[in-house]
Amino acid sequence: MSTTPDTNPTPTAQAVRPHDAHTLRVADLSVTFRGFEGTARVVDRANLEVGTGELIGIVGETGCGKSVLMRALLGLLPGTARVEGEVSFDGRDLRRLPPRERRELILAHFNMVFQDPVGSLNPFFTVGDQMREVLEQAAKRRGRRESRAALNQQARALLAHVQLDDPERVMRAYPFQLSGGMNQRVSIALALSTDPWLIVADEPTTALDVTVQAEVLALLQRLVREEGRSALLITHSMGVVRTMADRVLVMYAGVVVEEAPTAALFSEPRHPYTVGLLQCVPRLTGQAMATGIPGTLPNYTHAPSGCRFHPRCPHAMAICRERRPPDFAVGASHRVACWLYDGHQ
Amino acid sequence: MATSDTAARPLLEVRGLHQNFAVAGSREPKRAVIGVSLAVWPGEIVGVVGESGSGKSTIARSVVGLYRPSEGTVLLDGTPLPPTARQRSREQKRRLQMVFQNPAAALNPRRSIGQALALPLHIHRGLRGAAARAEIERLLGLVELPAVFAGRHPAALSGGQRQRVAIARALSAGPDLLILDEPTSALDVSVQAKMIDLLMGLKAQLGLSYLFITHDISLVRTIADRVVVLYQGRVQESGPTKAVFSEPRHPYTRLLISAVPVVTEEEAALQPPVAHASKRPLAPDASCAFAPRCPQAMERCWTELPPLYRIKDVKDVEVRCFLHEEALGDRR
Amino acid sequence: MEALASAASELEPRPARPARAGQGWRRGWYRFARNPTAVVGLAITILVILIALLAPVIAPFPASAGNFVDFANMLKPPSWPHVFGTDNAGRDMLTRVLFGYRISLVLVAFVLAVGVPIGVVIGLVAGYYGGWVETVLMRLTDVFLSVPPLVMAMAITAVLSPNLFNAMIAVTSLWWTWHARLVHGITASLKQEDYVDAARLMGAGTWHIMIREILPNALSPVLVKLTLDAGFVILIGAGLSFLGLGVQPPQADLGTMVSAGVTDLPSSWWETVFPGLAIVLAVLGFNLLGDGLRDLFDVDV
Repeated sequence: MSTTPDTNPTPTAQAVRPHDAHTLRVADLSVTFRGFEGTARVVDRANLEVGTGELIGIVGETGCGKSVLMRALLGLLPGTARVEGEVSFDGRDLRRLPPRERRELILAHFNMVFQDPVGSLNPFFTVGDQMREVLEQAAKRRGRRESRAALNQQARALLAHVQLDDPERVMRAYPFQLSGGMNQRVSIALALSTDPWLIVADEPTTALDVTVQAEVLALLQRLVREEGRSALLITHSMGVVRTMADRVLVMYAGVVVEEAPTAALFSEPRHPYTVGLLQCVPRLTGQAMATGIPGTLPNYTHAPSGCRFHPRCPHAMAICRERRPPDFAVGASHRVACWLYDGHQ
Repeated sequence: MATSDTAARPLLEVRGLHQNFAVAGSREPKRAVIGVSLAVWPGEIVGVVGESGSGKSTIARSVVGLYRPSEGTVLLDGTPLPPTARQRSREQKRRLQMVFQNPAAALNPRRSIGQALALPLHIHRGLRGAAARAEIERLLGLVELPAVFAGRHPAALSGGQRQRVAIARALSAGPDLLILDEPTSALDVSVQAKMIDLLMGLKAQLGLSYLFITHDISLVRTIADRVVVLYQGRVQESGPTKAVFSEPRHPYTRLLISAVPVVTEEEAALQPPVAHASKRPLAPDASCAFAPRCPQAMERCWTELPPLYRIKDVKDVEVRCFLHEEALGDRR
Repeated sequence: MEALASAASELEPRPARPARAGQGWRRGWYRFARNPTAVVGLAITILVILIALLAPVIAPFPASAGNFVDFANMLKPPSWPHVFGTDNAGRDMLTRVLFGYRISLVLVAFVLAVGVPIGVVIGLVAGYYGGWVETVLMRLTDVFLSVPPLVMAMAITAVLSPNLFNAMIAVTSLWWTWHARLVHGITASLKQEDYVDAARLMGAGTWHIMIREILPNALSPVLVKLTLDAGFVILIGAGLSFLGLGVQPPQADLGTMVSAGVTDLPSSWWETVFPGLAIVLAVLGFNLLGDGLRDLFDVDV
């Protein structure tokens, strides 16, 4: 991905090599916060696996814990958070590594794209300044020092790679001078500058117009597929995961309630929450949507016993109130955390 | 549903609305709304859809009198309204109310829900004390909130609950028409579904009409009787929802529909294929604003501004596009 | 990488909100109490106020506060029963310091009780109406702002006679300007809020919008500034007295005491040091409290 002064790059030509293969495994991850009213278990025993070249979508509504889960993965939670469980990269548990090593590992292999590009780009520096800084640090970590000219070339190449016309003009611009879509592309370019294996995108297109969203999502998808990277896409939009993801995890109240390959999730949603959620999405066909899912999100400090969804579930049974359902397999790579599928094969 | 056959005239009519804003450090004003005309008949929902820069929120504020229109008139039941809210009579203000986009910003954080609702009750219906309290309770019930919320402050409520309060407040004056500016954009999809259900119920129960502004094309398709598509301040296409969506004519409308991330195969089948455009710079006002992104742009589109053409044989559909230059006069 | 590194901020998730009214106060206290310096500031402030209120009751030698001489006892170093020593007229320093707090806080109370409301009203009106009203009021504020308080105080007390009351007038005549500026800025931005537009659409009049919608939201920064001001006013009052322009002897103002004691340094250090420390303590208390409130309200002042 990164060009060096030795080759003679033109802004648009890229030497693309498939990425090295890695795996990320999250096992029984829980995140607890201590607050005014008590302790809140915001993520409850989440399991997740990401292989090379996979685009995983994590979908859920506000407060479901998807952002917290993501930050737990990247070690970005504040000190008040208590994290339990395992986050293994290539078999090494990131949580048990000394902080310095963990940071190095994360910086080397992961990177993030945030929801609000104007917020995550520094308004006081030009795009060029920010790109050079990041590229310089990335080079330093690899034990190299790059000249300013080399950094500029790499920056321009990256900006062209994310389909920005006139990279030179973009380099000289400040974030507020660029449109939302352009800023988001710059964010993606910044994220690519460390040549990460895993790109974590937290609602990357929520703040964008729908036409621009389509383009940026297509770009992300291309970058992942063609360059052998992996991506974790966190969003509240079912439509976006259907367009983008290979596999989808549905989260509710801190629990992963369903996981399936995208096609299977949408053609045969199993968990009552997934079903309810899909029915609430307005359709282009114009048919009336469902009138919502009864009830409200639970209070995490006093979470419902057993299955966290049971107070709102039209199919709740006695056991749902008593015990948290484990994951049941309901198809190829399709699992549901729901007692309705107990004994199902 | 649209009662244009039975009613004599539209409840709300906007004619030739222009809204310009002065830009610091430039003599050219920013033209946010350019020659927009639309109408809302009693009992119908008109959906105004557009992306950022389309001018849709500006239209809401201009209509309701928070901005003084640079040009154009707003008529309520055939009577022209004074340009600003300050100049309008209490009665005029009562009939036309607005629900804002951001529920957190639309409620004063320092005032309780009860205090917020008491204001319009006092001004428009002269209610105080016990009578006001009873009415507040009734209004909260209308939007399915418990009466005890009257004593709470907005910070104690969720986004969906705050939006319900905003709706209750708008209803407390007893309006005929509600302008809803992206009322559900900040809400999760399940909360949105509940909110839409509530809004449709209220409309039926209270005989309201809605001017519904949103960026969500699927939502417009689902609830609106008629749709107005805006791009860069101008109306590009308008007409009955079914007619526009079954055969979208304007290339921008087609682009919007094709860009929606849908959740089912049958919706995907309805989406026009995505095509690419050549980007060339524009001469504003002397060309079609959409030309740089339009896969079907002709040479003419870069040098002339297309007028709004009325489509033959389809009732009420208008398109601002040279591709549809079919007789029947034009309106800017 | 900046993006990754900077993401560690924020992040306590907000599950369903608290249900009961009145919990806002408890929650506020919980957050305030997590800041130890703020709690210390509050404690000191309360202590100082209590001292000022109870001085006549708790002072060991109440007569020392006024016109009292006992040359036999003069300039005694800190010892029993005069824990802070005595001054050059034989008066008990501890008593005088306690009463000194009284006078300082009267000054603070007057300046803030009169000056702040004036400033708030001017700022509110200027910010809300804009146009020429704003220009006139804010330029007037600028004029007053450009005068240093001590100079103004010297001028006023030179024209009228130097005493505590005139000193208070002098300081108040300038103090409103900062609050006017502050409230003007806040009002100008708040009047664009959606809830103000909503109130207008409901038919609310100017009065209602200014007083009921905007003002309550402008008060947090004013409150924070007020607590920080208290420290400043004490210092200015002490400065004026030090220069002989404020309280006149034998009234015991902390500044006067420092001034009077300076001539006896370094031998009778207790005449200067204890009143000086008292000033420091009060100012410190107010400042810590003000900082704590600012953090609590998350305000830019």
